[in-house]
Amino acid sequence: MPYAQDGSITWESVVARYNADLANNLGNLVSRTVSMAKKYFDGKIPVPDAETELDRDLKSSFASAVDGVYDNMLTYHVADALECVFTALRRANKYIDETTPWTLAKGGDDEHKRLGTVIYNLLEAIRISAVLLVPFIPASAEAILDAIGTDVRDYDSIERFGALAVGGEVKEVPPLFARIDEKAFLDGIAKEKEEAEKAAKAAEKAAEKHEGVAQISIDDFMGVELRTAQVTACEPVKRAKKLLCLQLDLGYEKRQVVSGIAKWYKPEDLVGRKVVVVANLAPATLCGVESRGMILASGEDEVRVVFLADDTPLGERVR
Amino acid sequence: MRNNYGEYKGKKFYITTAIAYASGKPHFGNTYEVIMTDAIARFRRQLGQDVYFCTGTDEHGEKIENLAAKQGKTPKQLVDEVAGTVRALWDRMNASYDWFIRTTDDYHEAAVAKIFKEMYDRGDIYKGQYEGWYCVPCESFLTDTQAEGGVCPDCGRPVERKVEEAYYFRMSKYAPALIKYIEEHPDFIEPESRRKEMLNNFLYAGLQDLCVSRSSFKWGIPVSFDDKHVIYVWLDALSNYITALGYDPENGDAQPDKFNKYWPADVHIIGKDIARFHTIYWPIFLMSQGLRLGQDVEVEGQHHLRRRYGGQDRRRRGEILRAVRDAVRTGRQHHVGVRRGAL
Repeated sequence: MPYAQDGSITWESVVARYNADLANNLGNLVSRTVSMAKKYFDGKIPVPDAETELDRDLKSSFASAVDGVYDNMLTYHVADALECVFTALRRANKYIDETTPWTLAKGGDDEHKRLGTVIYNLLEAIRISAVLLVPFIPASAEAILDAIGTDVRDYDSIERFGALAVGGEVKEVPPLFARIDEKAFLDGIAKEKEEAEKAAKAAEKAAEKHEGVAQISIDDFMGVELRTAQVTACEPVKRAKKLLCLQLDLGYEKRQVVSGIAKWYKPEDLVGRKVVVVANLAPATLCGVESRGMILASGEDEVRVVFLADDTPLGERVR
Repeated sequence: MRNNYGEYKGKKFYITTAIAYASGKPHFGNTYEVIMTDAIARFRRQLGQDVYFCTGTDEHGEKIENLAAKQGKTPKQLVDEVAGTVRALWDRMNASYDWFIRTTDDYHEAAVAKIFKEMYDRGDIYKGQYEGWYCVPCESFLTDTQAEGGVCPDCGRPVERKVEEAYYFRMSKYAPALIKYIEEHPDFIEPESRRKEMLNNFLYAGLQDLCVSRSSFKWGIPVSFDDKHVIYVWLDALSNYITALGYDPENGDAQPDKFNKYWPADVHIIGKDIARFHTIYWPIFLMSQGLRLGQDVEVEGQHHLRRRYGGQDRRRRGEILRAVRDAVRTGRQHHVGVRRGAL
C-alpha cells in the first residue's frame, strides 16, 4: 500500500501480489538455489571464487536493498521498504538466467569454480533477503535461513555481502509459498460468499415469521372472554377429517365446541383434561355441528392444545 | 548500510497501534495497522533497540452498550468475547506485542478516573450543558459545519441531536500551545498532508471546548465525583498509551519504571479516521497533565475493498482476511507469510 495514500485491495490484487512476490520471486528463488546447491555441491555451501562484473552488479543491488529498507523503515514507509527487498530478489532471479548454472555444471574445473561463486552469491543473496524480511514475515524468514544452513542472522551481518559461512549444510526446503491457482481461489471465495448469503437469507426468513400483529389496548383484550373448562366428552365429527366435537364443562354452564385438531389429537387424549375456551365467540356451525366457542392451541404444522393444571378450578376468567 | 546504524543500539522505542473498538470482529484497518506496527517493532529490535509495543481494545461507549442489548448480552460479556477474538487474531498473525491493554482493565479504569478528577481540580474540566450533533458509531461530537448535510464527515452515517448536562475540557486554553508545538516540530504529524489538514481545518479556525462526559448511558468509566456521568470514551481510550505503562496520577513524580523508561511514545501508528483525536485531543490532554508529547503520529491511509468480493463493508474485512489466510492451505506460517507479504 503506497505511503500517504489510500490503498485498494481486491481479492485479485492479493492473489496477484502473492503469486508475483512471494511465490515467484522469493519462493522460486529459494527452491531453485537450494536444489542446485544439492545437485552440484552435495548440499554444502561452496567456496566463492573470482568476482565478475555481473557479481558486482548483484551485490550492489543487495547493498541498495539493505540501505533502502533501513531508510524506509526508519521513516515508517513500510510498503516501500518491502518493495526494496522484492526488487533485489527479482535481480537475483535474473542473475540465475544470466549465469546459466546448468551450463557451467557441465564444464571443467574453471566452470565448476565459477559455479561455486554463483551458487554462493545466490545463497548469500537469499540470506540477506531473509534477514531483511524478518520484520515482515518472521516465521517464513527464519525457515528460509534454516533451509540455507546459516546461523548468521543478525542485522550487523548484512552490512556487507559475504557473511555466509562456507561449508554450511543446505537443507530440504518446505514448500514455502506455493502458487495459488487464482481461479480456484476466487471460486472458493465466491462459494463462501454464496453460502454466507444463503445463511443470511434463512435467518431473515426465520425472523420474518415472528413479525408481530398490531398492538391493542387492555380494553380490547378484556373484550375477549377466556374461561377455564374441562373436556367431559369428545368424539370425531362425521365426514370431517379435521374436526373433533368436544363437550366442555365451565362449571356455571356446559357447552359444545368444535375444534380442528383431529390430525394431532384423539378423543381419549382430551377427555378429562382442562383447557382454555374463548367463551364469547359468536356461535358457528362447522360441518353441520354447532360450536359455541373455541379452545386455545398453538402451532401451525404441529398443533398443541393449551392444557391447564389438573387442579384448575372451572369457569374462571383467564387474563 | 548506513554508518550510524549503531546509534540505535540500546535506545528505547515505544510504539503503539490504536486500540481496536470492541464492538465486533476486527476490521481490515485494525489488522493492517497491527502487522505494520509489528514490522516496525521487529525492525527496531533488529537494530538492537529496547522496544515496547502496545496494542489492545477499546471497550466502553454507547455503541457497545446498545449492541450488547441487541444481542441479549451484558456489555462486559460482549467485550470479553470480542477482546478474545482480537487477541487471538493478533497472535495468529504473529504480532510481537509486549502489552495488550483492555480499557475495562481495572488499573486503566482507576487511572482514568483519577486523570479526569485531576483535570477538573486543575480547572481544565468544568461542568456545562451540551447540545449538538453527535455521531454514535464514531463516538464523536461534531460542530454544525462538520455535520453539514446531516452526516458524519468521518464515516458518512447520519448524525443525531443530543442535549444533556456535561463536563467540558478547555481545548481553547491549550490550542495556542499546540499550534506552536506542531509548527515547531514538523515531524510530529506525518505525512505532511495530514499535518496541514489538522492545522488548517481544525486548529487555526479555533478549537471549541470538548465535551468529555456523557450522562445518557452507563457503559463507561464513571466520573468519580458525579456518578450520573461517564467519561467520554475517547479520553478513556487515548489514555491507554500511558496507563499501559503503569501511569497513575497518584504517583505524581514517582511513576513506575516502565513509564519513566518508555514514555514519551516514539510513534503512534493510526488510521486517518482518528487523526483528529490523536493529533489534537491527545497532545492537549498530555499538556494538561504536564506530560511530554509523543514524538510522532503516523497517519495511515485507509483500504478500500472493492466491489467484487467485499465492497466497502467494514464488518467483512476481518472475515475476508481470515478467508485469505485459510484459503492458502500450505501450513500455518505460510498463512501469516501470505497475509503479511501481501501488504
